[in-house]
Amino acid sequence: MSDATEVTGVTDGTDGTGPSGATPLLRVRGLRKIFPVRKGVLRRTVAHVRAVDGVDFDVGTGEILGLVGESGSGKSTTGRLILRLIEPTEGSVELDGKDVRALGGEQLRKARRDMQMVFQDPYSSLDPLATVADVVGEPFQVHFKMSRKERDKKVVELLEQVGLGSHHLRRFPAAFSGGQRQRIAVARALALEPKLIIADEPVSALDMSTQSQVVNLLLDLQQRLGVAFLFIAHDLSIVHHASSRIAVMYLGALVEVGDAEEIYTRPRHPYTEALLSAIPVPDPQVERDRERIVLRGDPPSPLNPPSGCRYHTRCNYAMDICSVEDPQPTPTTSGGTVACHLHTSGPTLNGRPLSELGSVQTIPVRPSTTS
Amino acid sequence: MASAAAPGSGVARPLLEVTDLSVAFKGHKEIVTVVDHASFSLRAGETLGIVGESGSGKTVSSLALLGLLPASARVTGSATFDGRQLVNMPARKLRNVRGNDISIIFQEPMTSLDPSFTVGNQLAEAYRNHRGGSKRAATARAAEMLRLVGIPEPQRRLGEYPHNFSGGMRQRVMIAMSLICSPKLLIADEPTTALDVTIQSQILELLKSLQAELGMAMIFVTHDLGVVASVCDQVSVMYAGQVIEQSPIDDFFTRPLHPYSAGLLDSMPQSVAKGERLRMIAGTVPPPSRIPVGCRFNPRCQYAVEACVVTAPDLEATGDGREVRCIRHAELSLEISR
Repeated sequence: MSDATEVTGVTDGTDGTGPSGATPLLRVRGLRKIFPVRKGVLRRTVAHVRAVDGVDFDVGTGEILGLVGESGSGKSTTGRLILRLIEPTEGSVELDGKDVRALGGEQLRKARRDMQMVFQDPYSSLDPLATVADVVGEPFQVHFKMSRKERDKKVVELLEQVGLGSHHLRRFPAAFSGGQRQRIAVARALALEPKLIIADEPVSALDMSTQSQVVNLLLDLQQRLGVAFLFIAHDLSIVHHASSRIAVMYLGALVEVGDAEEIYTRPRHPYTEALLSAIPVPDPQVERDRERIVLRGDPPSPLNPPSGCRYHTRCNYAMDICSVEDPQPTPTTSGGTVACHLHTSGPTLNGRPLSELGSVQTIPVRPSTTS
Repeated sequence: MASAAAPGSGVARPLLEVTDLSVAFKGHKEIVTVVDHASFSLRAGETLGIVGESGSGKTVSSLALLGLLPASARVTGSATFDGRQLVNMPARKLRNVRGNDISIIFQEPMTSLDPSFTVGNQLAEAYRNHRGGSKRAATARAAEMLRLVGIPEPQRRLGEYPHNFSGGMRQRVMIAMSLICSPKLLIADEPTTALDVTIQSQILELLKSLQAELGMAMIFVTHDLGVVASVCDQVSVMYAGQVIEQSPIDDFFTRPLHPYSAGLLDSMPQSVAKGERLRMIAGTVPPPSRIPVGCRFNPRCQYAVEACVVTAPDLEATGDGREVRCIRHAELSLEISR
């Protein structure tokens, strides 16, 4: 793999956190959520969970940003903080230049039209006693006080958008398969013509043959309607496929952000490398030949994250500095950012960090499609 | 792991041979057949993957082998394990097979462990149930097993309760428990689905190394083709209650025989260039009450011809150690490009 970075022309975002170009659609800076842990009769706060601990990223207009991480990494909390379904402790969330956190009441409700959410489990996110017309049409009633007739007309249009027929209008969720339910949930999210949809593990509850149907639907909507997505998932291969950029989260912090293809083929952070290596590849030959990086131990508890770099307890490359100092995001040559001491304090060769010379490299999961 | 033939058996007689296994439940009005004439086999030391989507009957067939289905289930057909017929074996005899010769681990380790007993207590009980002996000996065996599955400080952890363990560690405890009587066959029903990928790879590596060390056979029930490629020697694909293909994995991943197998492999993101539309199988798996006439896959099959709508194909041996349930398998050549 040669230095394909320059060739592919991944342009440098201003500070590496965002897509290239003008003001991003969504701009998240220093986002933090600290949950108190209460115990005893007096509900005294005995500890704090730093679920999301200072996260910076942008989502461009019409862009799909993948947010990956394992359970407990804070990826779902991040999604909910953006919508203010959970109130952030600190930080700013700007949508179209407006700070969502400063809004209240009517203004917040309006801002929420532009941001919608699709949840993981379509079996629990749809009211079993509400028909498709009710579920998908409710936003019109809430926001525009439309009559039932107008609503139904809109709902039929939306159902067509997501590949469902108008004959489904009066049916209840129980009549649908998982994939169809997820389409209904997507139709509901689309109702108010949002600019951004936060999709939290939208396909992981689905069967394999329906997963690709829903991924295709999301890609279609992005291309046809120009909706941007924050695609939250743990499956890097699906995220890689659907996203233009990927942000990797570990224990509440972003360890790496960058171009999807770059992250998938040339991960800069040891955790990203391990995550990629852990995904079993559907090819027995590759599986036999490759050296898998097996990470030691479990992810530490967010109640008590390790000092310094929070990944150092499991990292194969950990140095002395890693347990002391928390690494800050630094720009990479391919226009992303990585928070890892290897890139700033690591060993160098010819004045360049080894990690940039391609020593941190994963197995080629499949030949890079850009080369 | 490469299918070590059973030591001492000249002709590799299968350790487990399942023929025409059917499972039916009595519904409100009619009898619903959930598994329909499933046949598969595996040799000692070998790993068979049973792959299918939800509702395909993959879990029900493995539970049926161990007599773990509710009393309302009607199980017919034959399943010979090491010369013994498992189907309709008297409960008392079956209890002796279960946990002793054949063990099972489930998807969710938390619900499989009793929260009110220590891990050591549960492990020792599993051992003494089958092997008897003193409590002390059983506890020593339990500690040995915890060490085997890579749990640090086994002596101390024996005295802890399941909630003291993380998800990955709980699954290790389950594996330790299932292997404590050195079974010949381990059935793993989606053992890593509830775990994170980095923990999944730890557990898969553990199972592979344990298998190499202990020589047991495994049945891996999963929906993840990556997991199949990583741990299995053979794969059986189930669709709507039927086995539609059984192949060695190298053949399966390069030249699947059944259009459904090919469709599954093709729908993986790895099969197309980044950002392109994923290939997909149209439609959804039919529920057991609405099974199509003829080939069960025909409404979703791009190769379906008139005959497919009329005749229900049999599972046919192709002569090279593979089996397929498709009338057109000989004329179709379904290569997977990647």
